[in-house]
Amino acid sequence: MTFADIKKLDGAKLRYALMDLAKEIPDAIALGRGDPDLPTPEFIVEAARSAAREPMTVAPVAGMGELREAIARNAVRDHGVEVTADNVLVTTGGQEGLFLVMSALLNPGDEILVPDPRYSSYDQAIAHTGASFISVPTYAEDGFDVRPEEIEKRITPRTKALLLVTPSNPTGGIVRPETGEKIAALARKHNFVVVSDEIYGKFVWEPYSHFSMASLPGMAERVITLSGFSKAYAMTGWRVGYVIAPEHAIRAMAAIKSHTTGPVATLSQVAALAAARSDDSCVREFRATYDERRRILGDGLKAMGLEFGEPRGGFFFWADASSTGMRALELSYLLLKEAHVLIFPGTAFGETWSNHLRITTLQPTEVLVEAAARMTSAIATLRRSGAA
Amino acid sequence: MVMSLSSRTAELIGRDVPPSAAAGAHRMVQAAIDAVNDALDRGETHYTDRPGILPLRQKVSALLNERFRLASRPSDLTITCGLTEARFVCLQQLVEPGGTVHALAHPEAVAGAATIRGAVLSQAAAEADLVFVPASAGEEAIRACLSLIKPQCMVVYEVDSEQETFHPAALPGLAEQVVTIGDLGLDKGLATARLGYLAAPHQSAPGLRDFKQALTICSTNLSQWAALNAVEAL
Ligand SMILES: Cc1ncc(COP(=O)(O)O)c(C=O)c1O
Repeated sequence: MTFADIKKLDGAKLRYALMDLAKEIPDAIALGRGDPDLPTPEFIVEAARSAAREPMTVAPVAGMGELREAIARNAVRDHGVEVTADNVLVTTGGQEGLFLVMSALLNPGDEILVPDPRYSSYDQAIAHTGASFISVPTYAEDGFDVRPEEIEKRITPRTKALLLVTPSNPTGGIVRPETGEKIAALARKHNFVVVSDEIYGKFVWEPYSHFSMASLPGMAERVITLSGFSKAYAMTGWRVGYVIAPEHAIRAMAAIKSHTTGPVATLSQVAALAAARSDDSCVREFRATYDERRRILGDGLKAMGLEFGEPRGGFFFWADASSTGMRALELSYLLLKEAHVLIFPGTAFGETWSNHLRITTLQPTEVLVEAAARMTSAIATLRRSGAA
Repeated sequence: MVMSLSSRTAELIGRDVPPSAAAGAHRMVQAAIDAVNDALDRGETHYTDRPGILPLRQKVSALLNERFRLASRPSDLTITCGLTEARFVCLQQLVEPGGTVHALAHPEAVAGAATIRGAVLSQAAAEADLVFVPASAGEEAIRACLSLIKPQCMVVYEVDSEQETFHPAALPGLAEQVVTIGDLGLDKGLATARLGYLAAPHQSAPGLRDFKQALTICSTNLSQWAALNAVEAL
C-alpha cells in the first residue's frame, strides 16, 4: 500500500493498513496496537493447560456461571457496585460487548454522545443500529476529561446514551469523580443511559484513581459497564470481555449474543476465571511495569519536542506533533518507513486530530528507548531538512 | 424499567439459537491438546491477524478446494467465532436493512441475525437478496431453490459435517455469489473452542472481514492453533 492509498483512510481502517505495512518491516517496533506485549500470567496459562486435558462442555451463551459470579464479586470488591451474576454477560472480548450494548440500546434515529477523540472501533457498532453519534469535544487543558456543559449542550429528545471510555483510548484522560457526578445528574435529568467502557480501569496513574460510573448513587440502573480481561491480564488473544448491566438488559444482550457468536470458548473462560479469582497481584506487577515505561517513553517524547499532557490512565500517549511541521499522518508514515517505528496518527481516532499521534507504552523499556532514539533522529533530520 | 431497550431487542427475546453440537462433554483430540500447550509455550496469547492465523486459513481453504473443486483463496477466508459468527457476519454484511432473506431450511438459524439487520424473512426464494442454503437440505432441493433466485442474489452455503461434494458455486454464473460457511473441528472434540469459517468470493471478502473485526477483532488464538493441529492430523 502506498502513501497515496494510506492517505485516503481514517478510523480503524487506517490503523489496520499501517499495521499491515509494519508487518513487512522485520525490525519494526510496534507502538501502535493496544495489545500488551507482556505474556499472560503463568497461573492463568496453567489453568488453561489443565482444563485442556479434560473433557469440557460448551458454556451457556451468557457465560460460565462461576465466571459471571466471580466478575460480579470483583465489581462489588473493587468498585462497590451492588451486582450479582445475573447482571453479568461474558462476551467475546470487550469488542463484542460494545456491539451487543449498542444493538440492545439504540434504535434507528437515536443519538449517542461520544467524546472526541474516540475509540473508532465503536463507529461500526453504532452505525449498524441506524443511530448516529454526536461528537462531544474534549480539551488538552482538562487532561481530556469530559466537560458536562459540553454534553448538556448536545442533548436532544433523541439522545439515548452517552459513551464514556475511562481511562480513554486514545487520550489517556479519565473521567474524574466530580465530572462523573455531574454527568450522573444530567443522565437522571434527561433520562439517558451511560455506557462506560472501563477496560483500562486497572491502570490509572497517581494521583488519580479509577472510579466506576455505576458506583454513583442511583446509577446502577442507568449505567452499562463494559470491560474485559484483554488489557488487565494481558489476555487479548483469549477473547474474554464482559458487560455489567441491569438484569433485563443482560437478558436482552444474551439473546442477541446467541445470534452474534454464541458462547465464548470454554478454555478462555476457564483462564478468565483463574484471573478473576486471583488477588490481582499480577495486575499490581503489570501496573508498576507500565508506570515505569510511561515515564521512560514520556521523557523520550519530550526530548523530541512533542507536546502532551501526562496520561492519567491506560497505555497511551496522545501527543501533539505540530512542532515537527508535518501532519501526523505523514509523520506516522515517515516514522514507519524511515525509523521503523509504528505509531498511529490522530485521524485514526477522529477526523480533526490531524496533528496528534497515539503512541503506546507496550514494549519493554529497552525497546522503548530504542524506539525513542529512532524517532528522535528521524524528527531531527526532518527539522534540519527544513520541513519543520 | 429505567433503561429502555431497542425495539429489535424485544423481537429477539426468547428466540435464542442453541449452538450446534453443544450438548455433553467434549474431549479435544490429543493433537489439539498438544497444539494448545505448544501455543502457550510460544506465548500465543495475543490478538491474531484479524482474519485468523494464516496456516489455518491455508488449510481450510485447501480442504474446501479439494472437497468441492473450488478455487477459494486463504486471503478471502476468515476464521470466525463459531459457525454462529460466520452466519451472523454474512447476514449483516450481505443484505441491506429492509432486504429479504430466504432460508431453504432451518430458518431459525438465521432469523435472529436477519432481525438484527432489519431484513425480512420470505418464503419465496425468487424475492430474496440472500438465500441461506444448508447442505443438509440436499443437492436436489438446493438446485431447485437456486434456479429461482434473482441474478444478484447472494448465497450462503452452510457445509455440515457430512461428506457432501456438491457445491452451489459449481452452478453456472454463481461462483462470485456464494459464501461458504462451516464449523471447525466439531468431530475433533473442538465444539468448546467455538471456531468456524467463512470463505467468500474475492469481492465480498474485505467487507466480511472488516465486519468481523468490528464485531470481535479476531477469533480466539488458542482455539485456532488447536483447530490447525486437529485438522492436520486428519
Ligand atoms: C476502549 C476499548 N474498548 C474495548 C476494546 C476491546 O478489547 P477486547 O475486545 O480485546 O476486550 C479495546 C481494545 O483495544 C479498547 O481500546
